[in-house]
Amino acid sequence: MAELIFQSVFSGLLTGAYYGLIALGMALVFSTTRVVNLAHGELVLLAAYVSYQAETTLGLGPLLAIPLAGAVVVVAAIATMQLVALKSRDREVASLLITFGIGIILTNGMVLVWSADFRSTQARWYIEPAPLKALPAMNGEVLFFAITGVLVVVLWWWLNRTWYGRALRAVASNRVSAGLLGIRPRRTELLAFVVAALLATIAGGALYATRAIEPPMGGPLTTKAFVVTVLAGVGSMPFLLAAALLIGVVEALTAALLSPALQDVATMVVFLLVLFALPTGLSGLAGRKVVS
Amino acid sequence: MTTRFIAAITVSILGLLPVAPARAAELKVGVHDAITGSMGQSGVAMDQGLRVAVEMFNRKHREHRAVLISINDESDPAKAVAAVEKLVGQGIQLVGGGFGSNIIGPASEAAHKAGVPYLTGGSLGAGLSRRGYKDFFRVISDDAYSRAIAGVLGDIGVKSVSILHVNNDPCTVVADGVERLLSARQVKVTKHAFESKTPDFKPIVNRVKLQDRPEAIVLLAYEPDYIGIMSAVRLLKPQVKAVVAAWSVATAKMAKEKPDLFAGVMGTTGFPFPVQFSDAEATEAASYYRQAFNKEPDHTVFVGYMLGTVMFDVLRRAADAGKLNDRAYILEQVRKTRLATMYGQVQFNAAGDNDAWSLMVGQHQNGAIPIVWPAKGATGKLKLPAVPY
Repeated sequence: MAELIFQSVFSGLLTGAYYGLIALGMALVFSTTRVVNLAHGELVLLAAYVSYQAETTLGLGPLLAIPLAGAVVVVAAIATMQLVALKSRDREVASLLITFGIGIILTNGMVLVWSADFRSTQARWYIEPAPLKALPAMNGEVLFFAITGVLVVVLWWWLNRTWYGRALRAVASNRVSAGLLGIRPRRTELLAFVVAALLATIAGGALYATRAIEPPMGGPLTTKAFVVTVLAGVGSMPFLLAAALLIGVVEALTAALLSPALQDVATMVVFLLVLFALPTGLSGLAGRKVVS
Repeated sequence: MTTRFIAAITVSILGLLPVAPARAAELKVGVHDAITGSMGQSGVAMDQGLRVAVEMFNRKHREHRAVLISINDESDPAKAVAAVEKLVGQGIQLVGGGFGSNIIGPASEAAHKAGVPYLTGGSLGAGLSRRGYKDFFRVISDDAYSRAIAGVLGDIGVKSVSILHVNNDPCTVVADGVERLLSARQVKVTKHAFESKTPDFKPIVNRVKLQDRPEAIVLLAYEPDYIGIMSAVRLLKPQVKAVVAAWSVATAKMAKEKPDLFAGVMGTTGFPFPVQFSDAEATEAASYYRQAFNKEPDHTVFVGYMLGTVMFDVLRRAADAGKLNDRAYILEQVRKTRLATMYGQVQFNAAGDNDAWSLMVGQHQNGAIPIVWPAKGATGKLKLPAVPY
């Protein structure tokens, strides 16, 4: 039993880090722009499909395909931002409808371009066992877990130690005041979309490297990212990661100890319990409300 | 006088003409297919199979012309209902198609209300047949999958089995069937239901490995799930004699793209890979499919083909009897169907299910999938342990 629990917790941490990578982009955009990007999961999936295309036509593995996928996803994210920007009134509600529509367009576009068939990497290394004796994991999972860790540190440093990062936080705190201080809110918001797109690209690479992909996957990815974001409480990177890891571990332990069919139920129970105790999410533990 | 003469000549000339064939009837079948949406992959394959059926019917029956009117239901039950209503409104006398019980249920109900027979090859949900509709028919049968899986495991002689299945109606029905058949052979069965597209299967497989410790694992799911589960199985290496899956594993796509992941794994199928057909019709249909769609036909394609063949055959009989617009006659002809298609026998029981249909079991072996069960139709020898490690 101890072995099962130990290995399940480890699996849960790997999956949770992956959820965190997806949610990070969505949370960054929401904190800065108040836009709930319901097409974020589709952007992750788009990156995965571009990785597939790069593999089949150029022979690039999921890791090497990231720059190419990044270019495509950044363009798609900027287009999303521009469309959302057309609607300046009731932005939060309007963004829901616009990005939901963009998500549908992206999903159907992926069906048209890559068909409804599932795709998965032909690069065997990514699904081979990682050299971790007691901890079962695939090379791809461990690699992208490590990349996620590095990205989190880099992102934290960027948000706290660079001018652009601080500008982003300033816009997140108060858009009008940030403008009075010489920060261009529109440009900063665009920057948030670009950074989120790059995070989505890495998540898409991880997705393609370790799982089979198909066009309808985007919606569930968005849902998961949304749950993580709300559970964490808006605007807190460490709590966002904590929420993602918590969901990953809860899912894994539920599958191992109760029933695999109850994974989503267990996640929602934890979600509701946390929000009942901490209405602002996990970040309520520290009382923080800014991106840091 | 002149007029009478001309009339007489005309009648004589007409009398000398050879008897013209009966006017070619247009046999219109209406289907809703999940071309996009969550069931898109299977829906496309089903639709392609139906199109092959149209082509093959038109080649074989020059006296009629088969026409397929297909509407994309986007894997959405409401759109499937709207599609059926639209087809019925266009005067189509035989409708069907669909993929997934949650879509086929309401769609067939709409057809039932309109009094139009509905045929499908996309549902294993036994609950649909239990509704008591006399105009609902399934060309496939969940029992065929259960019998094949339980049959091969019984012959291997395993004493315990873990079944990992998606928690939807079709997979649960087949899981229950396998459990019933294996329990009758005193085999211990443990079932684990899960949500399709679970992101990480390692905890589930680990549970099977460390707690169930079965001699065989049965998988009832869909392609992305199979890849996830087999990745976990290869990683954790549970000590089992065999892994057997239902649909979508013993396929050309898996043999070509994932030969390592599925090496040794068995799956239900109707033919080996590379495809070897004994009859000319099957060879011709497969050849046409490759030419039209540039890939190898798979199980779902052939189920679509079987469905289309049955539907057009029913309308052909109705047309020959001059009752193409007689719904009662068409329904009677569906019930009377006794058709040996290249993908199996079609003969509906009182509930509208095709009990006569059966499946075989193939095993991934060095990039090929020979039939290894039953012995009668085997094209290769079963290799144990049937696992990729």
